[in-house]
Amino acid sequence: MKALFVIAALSLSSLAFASKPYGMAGCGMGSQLMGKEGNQVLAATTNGTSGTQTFGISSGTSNCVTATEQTARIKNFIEANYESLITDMSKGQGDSLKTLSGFYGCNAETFSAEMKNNYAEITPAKNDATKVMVNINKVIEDNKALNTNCTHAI
Amino acid sequence: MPSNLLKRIKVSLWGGLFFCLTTFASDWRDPQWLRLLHYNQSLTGNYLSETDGMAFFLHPRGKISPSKELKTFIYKLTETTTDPNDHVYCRFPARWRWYKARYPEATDPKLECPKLNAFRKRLDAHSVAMVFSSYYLNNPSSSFGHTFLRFGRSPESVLSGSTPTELLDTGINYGAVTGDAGPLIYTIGGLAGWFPGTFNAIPYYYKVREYNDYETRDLWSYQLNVTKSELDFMVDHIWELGHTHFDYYFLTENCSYHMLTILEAAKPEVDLLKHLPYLYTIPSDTLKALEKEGLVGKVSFRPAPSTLFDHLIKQTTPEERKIVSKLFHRPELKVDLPDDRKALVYDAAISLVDFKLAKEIMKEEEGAQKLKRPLLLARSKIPQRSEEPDFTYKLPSAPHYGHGSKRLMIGSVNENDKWGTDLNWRFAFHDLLDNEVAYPHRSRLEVGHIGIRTFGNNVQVRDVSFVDIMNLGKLDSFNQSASWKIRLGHWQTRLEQRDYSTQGFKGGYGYSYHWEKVTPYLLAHVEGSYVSEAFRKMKLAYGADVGLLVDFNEAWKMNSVLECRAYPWTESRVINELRYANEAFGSGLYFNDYLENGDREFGLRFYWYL
Repeated sequence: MKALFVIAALSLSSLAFASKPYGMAGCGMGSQLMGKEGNQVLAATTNGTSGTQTFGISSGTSNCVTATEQTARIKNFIEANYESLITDMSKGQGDSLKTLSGFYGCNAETFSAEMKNNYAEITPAKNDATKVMVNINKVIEDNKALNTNCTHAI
Repeated sequence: MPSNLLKRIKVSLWGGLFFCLTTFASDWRDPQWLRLLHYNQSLTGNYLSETDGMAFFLHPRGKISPSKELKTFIYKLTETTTDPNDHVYCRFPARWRWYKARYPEATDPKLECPKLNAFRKRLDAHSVAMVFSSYYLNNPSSSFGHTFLRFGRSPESVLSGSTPTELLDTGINYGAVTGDAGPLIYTIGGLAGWFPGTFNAIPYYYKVREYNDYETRDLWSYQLNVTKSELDFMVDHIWELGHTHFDYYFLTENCSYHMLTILEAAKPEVDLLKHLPYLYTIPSDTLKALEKEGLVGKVSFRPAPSTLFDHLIKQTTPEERKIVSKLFHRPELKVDLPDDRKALVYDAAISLVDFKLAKEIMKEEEGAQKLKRPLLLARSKIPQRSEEPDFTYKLPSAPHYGHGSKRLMIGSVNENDKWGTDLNWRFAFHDLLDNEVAYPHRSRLEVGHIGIRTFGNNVQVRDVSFVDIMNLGKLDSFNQSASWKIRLGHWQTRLEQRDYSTQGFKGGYGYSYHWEKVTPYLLAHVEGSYVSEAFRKMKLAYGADVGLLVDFNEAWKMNSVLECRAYPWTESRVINELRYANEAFGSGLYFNDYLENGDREFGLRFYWYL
């Protein structure tokens, strides 16, 4: 009985992997955990992804080969924390925003303030992590304060 | 020369064998070895490991034999292999740590372990915290809360506990893989241990999004006092556990239980499990165990959107509250307020959407986004940035400060001028009049409740509940959550001044209004029961409860309720109960009046929370 469950669970999730190896972002752990529902948070946390798989993924077998790891990590973070992140941006405060600032190596205060100032330009009409990232990169590039301040800008 | 070499080999062989034998003779009894392999000893002295994935054992009889397992481990250390990832040194790094600490002279295989090292690097652990995700009454498996480990990546987390970038930490979660099991299979399988429980390592932000945002539950982080070497030991042991599974038992070997066994394996001097009841593990009890063993450092709090909303709305004026309400329906509304007040009003409105439409937002539903996007845009145009909310006032109600969840009640009862004694035991967990510190307010969640009443030589089991849940949901200008109750068990039905033993279920649904200290409620009631003696068949009854819960403070509480029932006959009674309860002791009075026939019962009760 028990063994049956394990096998069932494993084969179910490997099916999911086979049919959709790349998520919307196409990269990173989030996309690997992406389920059919489309929301990777739910897929990652509630669809019973087995431990062996997440432990397996951890061991450096990323499906990202084309993009740089930095880009992949940022894109994935934006995707997984999308709602929280844009909420933080509108307020100019919050942990998701501070964390994102860390990825770019920016001063969190300056970064948070500038993301708020440029909220309208950064957020697209429809949820799109890639667009948000591209827009943030552009804001950093065009903004004097950030341009000199962010050490890991891409 | 060759004979010399031969002699040398012989000596080292004998030496090795002797070394093995002496190790074998004594060391498998070492508590840390037994913990690493998750062995339990039965009363007859036999060992059995809780681990159910057989690859976790190197010897075929490893599950029942700590000595054979150790012997095989030592032997396999000397083996050569083409892929180092498969070598015991890389597969069981915590076992190796233990072994090397006891025998510094043991030969280090000195292998590179690519997969293990990638895992260590991914966690990059500087600190570890036990995270408690608070009570979630809407899901049976989460009603008692949930715990998991968070490995802190930032060097500052060693001192400060929580850090702004803790979202990038790694959460280690233990959960059942239930697949698509329906509620019935889920419950039975969960109790019987049908589902495999596995460990899961994912970025902490997923856990925050799931618990904080999707399920609107507060998160509490308990920084754990461990040394760097204990921390590394934990990481390595989790690596070992990540490739196996345990049978998941909801009541005993559950998420919280295995978080403690990991910690125990890394800290042989502490005994956490002795603080837990034998039959079940309640997450908040495991936090108390950590506290009792002196393992808890800094405690920090991450609010759910609903908590953030409560925090913000308290700072608004009644006029501003009206605007918040309006914004929830008309996000494009033009708000005419000074910038700082306007920022607060928008922040409150945003968190209102976040918690009321939590699931819709996470599922990226259009309706929720249409509501929220204009609010965010308008908010971004107010120059004022939000301040980081300060929740330190929440810390005195951290979950480990709550009353003991087991409860003994002894009472004196007077039933129509006859005096008797009440004796009552509850396995878990909280009721409406218990001390509210650290527990969900205005709720009852009791599992395993038995009540005995004696009059002279007459002993009667009056009351048995398997589950007894009541949740008075919030109804005010911002909340419209319903109230409900359900009870499954055995009780007494009153008919013509006599009690009849009854088995069945009771349920109710309605609404309650939350003022700060006073909570009136109204519930429609239905019950299906088998009343022995009197009818000998199932009866369906309906009725209503009209009640008033008064919270004088966190310890003094009163509940008055009028219960009306339509069996084939009608019965109404008024129950009044007043109680004082701190975290360990309580006492109270109650009056019970049957309106139809003037029967009356009253009593004095004493409670011990264990």
